[in-house]
Amino acid sequence: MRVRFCVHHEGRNAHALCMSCRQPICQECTTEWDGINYCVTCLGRKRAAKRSGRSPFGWLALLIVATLLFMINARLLLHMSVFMAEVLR
Amino acid sequence: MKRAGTLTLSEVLDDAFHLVPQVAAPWAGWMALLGLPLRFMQAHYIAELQELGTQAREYGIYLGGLALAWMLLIVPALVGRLMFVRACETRMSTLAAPGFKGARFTAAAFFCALYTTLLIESAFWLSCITWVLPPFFILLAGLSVATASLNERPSLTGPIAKIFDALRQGRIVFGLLFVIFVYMIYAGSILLCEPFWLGALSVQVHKARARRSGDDLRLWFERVTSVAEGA
Repeated sequence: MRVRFCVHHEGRNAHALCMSCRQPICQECTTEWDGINYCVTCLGRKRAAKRSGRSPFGWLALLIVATLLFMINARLLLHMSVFMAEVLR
Repeated sequence: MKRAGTLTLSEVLDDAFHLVPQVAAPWAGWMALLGLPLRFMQAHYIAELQELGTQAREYGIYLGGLALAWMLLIVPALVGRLMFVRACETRMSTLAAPGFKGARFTAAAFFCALYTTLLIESAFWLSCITWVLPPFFILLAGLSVATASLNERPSLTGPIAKIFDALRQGRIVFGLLFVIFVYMIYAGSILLCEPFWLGALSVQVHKARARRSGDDLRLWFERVTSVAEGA
């Protein structure tokens, strides 16, 4: 079997595969999270994604769009159902 | 030759028909219960529309109020669906019976699912005149619930990208739509088919993702070690 080396440490034998980027990583670079091995870079990316979830702008945009969609959908449902009822009649 | 790691329709259906009875009590019951007000409102709206007949346009304010109530009742129905899908996911990833903690979903998952559900609902109503496109939007509505828990943060584009990512395995999801449609004709009830429909979609989404992340290997290892410990 071919020996694989860590992508971050030249000459160091690989201990695991990062399940996000699929690169071989050594024991030092491996972090097990929820039973799955990740490299430092991918783990950092995951943490950054979690942190950006705290931004209020995403929430605000989602709430405004959802409220608008409630209103639009009620009007759409009314017009389309009356239209369809007339077509079917 | 079949490519390693490729999902098949029969595999998804097989897993779903094993999974759904395991989480049916009480989560399918909760889903049906929370979805009932919406079903009653839909039936009432259609009955009123039929009764008003050609005069329906003159009762715009009354029907508009009912339409708004229909839209608002989507919220409890969505809560029930998300609880059920989350319970399915917990069962698949931990192999344990999901308790109340296992069916809990995040606020980001809920609001992303609400946003996509309403967006798909708009597209559904706009596409009604085509007679052909509505089944496609029914499929998207199911996928929006099945992919909801993948949304870790609120976003307008993220949830849509996740739905289209799940659609990449189009052969399986359209196959599921067809199978569940046939099943619905036999069962004669949406309430009976809904758990299998959502269960199958969450199996498809979960398995495709697990194969990409390596989570399937972790589960396989857990299963093997638990068998070895039991022996």
